[in-house]
Amino acid sequence: MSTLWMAHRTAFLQMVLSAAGVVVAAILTSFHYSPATTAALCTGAGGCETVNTSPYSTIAGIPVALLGMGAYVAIGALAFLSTREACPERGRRGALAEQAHLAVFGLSLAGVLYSAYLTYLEIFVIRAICPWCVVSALIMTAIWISSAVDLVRRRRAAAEVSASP
Amino acid sequence: MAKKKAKSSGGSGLIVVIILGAVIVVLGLIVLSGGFATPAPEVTTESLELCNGMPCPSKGSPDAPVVVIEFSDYACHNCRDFNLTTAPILERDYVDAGQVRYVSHVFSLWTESIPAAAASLCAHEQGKYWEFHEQAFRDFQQGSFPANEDFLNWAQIIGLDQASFKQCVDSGRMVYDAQVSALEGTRAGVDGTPSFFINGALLRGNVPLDEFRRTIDAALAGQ
Repeated sequence: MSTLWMAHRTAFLQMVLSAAGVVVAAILTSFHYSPATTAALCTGAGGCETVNTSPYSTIAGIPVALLGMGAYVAIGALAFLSTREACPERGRRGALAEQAHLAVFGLSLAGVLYSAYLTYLEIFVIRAICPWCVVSALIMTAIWISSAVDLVRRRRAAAEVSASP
Repeated sequence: MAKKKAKSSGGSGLIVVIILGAVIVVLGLIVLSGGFATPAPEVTTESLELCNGMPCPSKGSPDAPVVVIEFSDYACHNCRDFNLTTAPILERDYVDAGQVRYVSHVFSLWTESIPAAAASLCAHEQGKYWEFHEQAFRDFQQGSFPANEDFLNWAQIIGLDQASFKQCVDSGRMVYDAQVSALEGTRAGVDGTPSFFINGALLRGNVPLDEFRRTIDAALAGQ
């Protein structure tokens, strides 16, 4: 199986995961008034609403879920870009396509690290778990793992080509 | 060709730079979100009498043997029912009699109800929290959330300094305190409103008046 085909397969997987991430982020940004009451008690939408109303739900006034959506869109676009093979006539765009998989690796790593911090906040600081946040963290981790595996495979292939006569 | 492929796979130095860059970005996000949050301390009755480190709105004798801590949301009809029917009776029979000190925490169940909670804390700054609290429930409308013009209207009715109150509401400086107030309830196990801690025992919902009486009387008997 060629390295190029494997890289394209990884990029396709990352695009699918990014699309799933955008959907999850959209769900998280759309948690709004959804009254649920028992005979005497009003309740919200559960853990996600609790996390969304906490002081940790925004960064400089921007909802964290919206930032996550932006990250997924960027990763999806970069994964798509990485499938474009570099050729001299593309100039800078071709060079960008060559490095796109590295950008996916870096962006998804930042996403995994921040998701880990958010999970820590949910467990130890807020003391409420948002299932959709967990799903988002898992998607971001899957993207990062696929990106790291792709990076190792590309380096091995490059080393083999360099070593060949 | 080989050289080009090696470059496109990313040298070790470049990968280290990318990893460091990702770490720096995350640290930046943590700083922007208010700094690293340490694990929440254990919740006690005493800690629940504080709202973000400051005394919560309260009424009644500081020496009262029983402390009732209420968590309510201004968009919750059960909170409205409790505050307009049961609360005045409990106030007359227990708070005014010096047996209960009554503490209030704003607890926003929904993001849309945070502004009203923050506005109530702006009223608290001027010593008129309870007036605002009552007015908010009097003007309660099922399924809708009060907006700034409602808050300003209530401020006029209860006699707040309009300019100062408007500045507080517009700046949003009480939003964080309102969010922390709810967070303190979540940590204590509050998952709906109204909820009450009566000398540390959790009572959930706008239960019948008799149940409030039984619980408070039991707490008084336990002193």
